Amino acid sequence: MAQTPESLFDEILGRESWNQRPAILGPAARTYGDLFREAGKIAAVLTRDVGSRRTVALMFHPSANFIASLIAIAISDNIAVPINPGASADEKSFVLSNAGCRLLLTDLAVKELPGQVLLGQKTLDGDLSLVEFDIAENFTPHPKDRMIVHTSGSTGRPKGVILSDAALSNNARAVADDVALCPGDRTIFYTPTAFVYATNQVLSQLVAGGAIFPWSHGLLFPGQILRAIDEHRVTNLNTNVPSLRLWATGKEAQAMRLESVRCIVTPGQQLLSSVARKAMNVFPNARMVSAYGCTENAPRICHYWTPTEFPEGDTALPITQGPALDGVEVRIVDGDGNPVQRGETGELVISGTSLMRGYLHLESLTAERVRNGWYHTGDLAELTLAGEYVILGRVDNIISVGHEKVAPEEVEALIEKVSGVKSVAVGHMPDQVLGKACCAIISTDDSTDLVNRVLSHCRKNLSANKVPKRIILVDEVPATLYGKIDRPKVQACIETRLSEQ
Amino acid sequence: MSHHPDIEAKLCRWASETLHIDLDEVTNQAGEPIRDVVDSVAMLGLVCFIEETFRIECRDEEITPENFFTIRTIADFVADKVRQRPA
Repeated sequence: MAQTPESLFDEILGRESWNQRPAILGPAARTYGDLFREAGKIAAVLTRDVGSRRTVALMFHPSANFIASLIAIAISDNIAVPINPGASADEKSFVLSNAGCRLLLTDLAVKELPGQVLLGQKTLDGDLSLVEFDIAENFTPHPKDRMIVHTSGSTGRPKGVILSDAALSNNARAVADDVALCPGDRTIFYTPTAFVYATNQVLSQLVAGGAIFPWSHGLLFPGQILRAIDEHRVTNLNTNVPSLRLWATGKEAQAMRLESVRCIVTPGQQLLSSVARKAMNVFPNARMVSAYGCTENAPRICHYWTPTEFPEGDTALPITQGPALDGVEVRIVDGDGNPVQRGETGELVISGTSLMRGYLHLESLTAERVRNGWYHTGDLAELTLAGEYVILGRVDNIISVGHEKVAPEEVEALIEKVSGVKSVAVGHMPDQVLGKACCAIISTDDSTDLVNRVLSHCRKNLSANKVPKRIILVDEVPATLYGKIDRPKVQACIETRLSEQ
Repeated sequence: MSHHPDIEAKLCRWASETLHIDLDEVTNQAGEPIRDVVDSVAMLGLVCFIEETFRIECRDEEITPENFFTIRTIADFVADKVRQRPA
């Protein structure tokens, strides 16, 4: 019996018998054979013009082009650096420089980026283009590095997470096994491509031989997504809790029963039983899976299959509990790194075959977070008396907005630059769609048009989820005795002020 | 090029005030996809704004990526609906 190749890309490209099967659904429909031919053509250009073992930025909305380009990166043995098309020009520029990407593959218009010199642009088949920047290459890859994903950093800049082909492959296979994905499965793909969840969704579907319906408009048209699910008989949804809430409570959804959906995976967010019950009216045959993960684990750590019956009222279901996915090891440890006893809480740490190689150019941070082969997630968890673990929250200050992790320090550093701002702190507030949104409290000595100036500055320099939904002016931003921001008091202040409005 | 400058100007003003983007910037980018700057909550607000301002009703099946792709396509869509509005 032939051994399964270590790389998932090698595995799927070796399955010629699948060539006639549908791989992409919708207006850009194509078979596996067509998809691989397209990927092969892109790979040929990359091999000829770029070579191999170089970082190539991919800037796409969820699309067949993104999937073909991802496969092309593997065929040509390069390293993908996904970039969020919705990120600010400054963020895009930082990611390109940080990963030393001279080349950017995209099907979108590329505008001037601050601090970057555009050297040229080459049109490929279809509407793809390969854009070259005058950027110094600064990354010496390890032989099996395949992707660098940038995630929010607590230092005000995103961190590049280096993932190997094996890490991506192992995690996608583990997900496909756990959800029992099969060739008959169909998924709708609208996760922003800069998240490793997007790559994982694509790869787990491809390794199972399933089909993907790419949807490039995010959550702007929930009615259209529901109709697409119905039309294409979608079986698997990877969706965040906010979109599930939007679908389950929207007026279109009330009249729909989408019986083809058998599994709904929601990544790492608190699901309320009331939302789950409404979702089950729309998706009556679906089981719900709460996925917990992080970019550093490519990304998933475990799946919690929620019960089929949900409690009355608005009970918060656990984010996760239960066993880790295949190849992932989990422990909960105390401050000294020793495993806690049952009934105690501690930090959740992970190890295994999906773990990152490290942070790009941040060796000391890598050493701080990965100790003796265990990555410290920064998530607080409880080891229950039954031996299961339950996520309780973050050890650090990160705010989860939709499925984007926002470091308040990054937003604060930006707002501090606006004239008239004396002091600023960012906390969170409830949001109907995203679950949580950023909220800033500001003390000022010149409040003239300050709110508009701050918001305008944030809009220009931050991606949408990082822009504060509300600005609250205060006499003084709560601080500790040592002058640091007092986060608990900031949050209490936000909640008090919002309740007064 | 805009076919409906009056409608487009009102939409740009809405976008500028709601999304806190400079009016000139919005106006210059009226032909660019809105998906990177409008989230789903803002989209609900946009539909309400259109319905109230132009006294039309947007049916669910009309809120599509084709109609709501750019400020300019929205202006075209609104103009069509206004034209069909009973006197």
